[in-house]
Amino acid sequence: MNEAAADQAGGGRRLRGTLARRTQAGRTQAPYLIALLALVPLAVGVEYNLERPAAQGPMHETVAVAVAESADYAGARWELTSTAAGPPAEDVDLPRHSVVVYAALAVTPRDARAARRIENCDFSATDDEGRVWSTAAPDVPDFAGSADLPTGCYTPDGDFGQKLIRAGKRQQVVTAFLVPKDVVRRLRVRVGVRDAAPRYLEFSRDQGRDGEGVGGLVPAFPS
Amino acid sequence: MTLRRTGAVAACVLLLAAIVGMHRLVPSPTEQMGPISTHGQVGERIDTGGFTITVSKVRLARTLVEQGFSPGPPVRTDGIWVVLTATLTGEWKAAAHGDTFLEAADGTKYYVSERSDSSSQLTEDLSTEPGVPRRGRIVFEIPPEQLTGAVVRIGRSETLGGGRLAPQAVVDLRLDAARARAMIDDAAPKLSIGAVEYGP
Repeated sequence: MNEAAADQAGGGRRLRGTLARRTQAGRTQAPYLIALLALVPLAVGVEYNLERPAAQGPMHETVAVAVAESADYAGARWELTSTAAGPPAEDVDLPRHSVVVYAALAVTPRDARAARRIENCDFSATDDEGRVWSTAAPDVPDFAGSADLPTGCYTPDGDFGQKLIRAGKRQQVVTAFLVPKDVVRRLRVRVGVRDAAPRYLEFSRDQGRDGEGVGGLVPAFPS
Repeated sequence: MTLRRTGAVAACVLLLAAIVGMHRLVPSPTEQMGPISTHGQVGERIDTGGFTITVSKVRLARTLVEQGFSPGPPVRTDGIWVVLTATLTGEWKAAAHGDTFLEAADGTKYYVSERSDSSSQLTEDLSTEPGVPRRGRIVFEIPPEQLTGAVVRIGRSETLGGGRLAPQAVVDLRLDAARARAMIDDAAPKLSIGAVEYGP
């Protein structure tokens, strides 16, 4: 019986000793745990903030602009004023089932810096399948009816020169695409400016019109 | 006990052999990321999924004569000019097809000739657009003896990614020794090549 009591007392001492050691260890490790709890969320937060700008590019590649509406992009105001399928230049033989689509846009740079930034703007066209067409080769479209409108984001200067669009001036520009006939009704015009976010401004189409115009606007160019 | 040990050793050997065998089945980096080939022949429409090409004609010549606004002097060769006439249609966006070469039977690659004016070379510019066919020439300069068994590989070149997993058409020119010899004997002394055009 005495032996059992002695064993019990010995066990109690061991338990107290163990608890004391654990408490001591807990006190020693507490600062590390607190540091860990503080630093892990901090590291995640810093990494998230550093990566967020990079992740936003591909996820927000375009901003769609409704028909007949304008939008701010790269420091300028943009509007798709007219689109229409039209004839090519006189001596160009187009492939079967292809057509030239003309687009007229209006761009108004907010200030001189924006005018400089958009000077090398880029036009393209896309369809529902994500296919992309660049502007047609210079010898393909017939811009004769465009009243000397520029084919880029600048103001013509003399016969062959070009200068920046004056801040606040609404400049009409024209462009053209060579596309298969069957995509004309599904074509959307895009504007891109280097290093601008979003990557593209995309003018949405209107399926409710007669289908002659792209983007649903009344064909007005070329006449 | 001996039988058990023998069985264990045999199992180990089999497993090692299996590991070696499986390791050899792992695709090489080229196989994993190389071009995706679609095979066809002259006169056949080859749809690679990334572009479509039809090589309609193969001609040989000793001298090339460029046409156009400012043609240079005729270009002679000590070998032979191989001139393919083809129609190329893009599928996704404006692209060049600069990863194009003639592959001889011994594996030697001859890339599109830089001695021929690039404006007359179908694969050398960025103007191949989705759904709009363009017709032009693809020109190689090769030793005549390399013609037998040659194939032409036309690959879309990527600005980014170095053409990894890019679509590639492999056109068998169907030139056995007799046919190659006959074509070389009949090679045109002079061949005029025009600029790339749209169509058909």
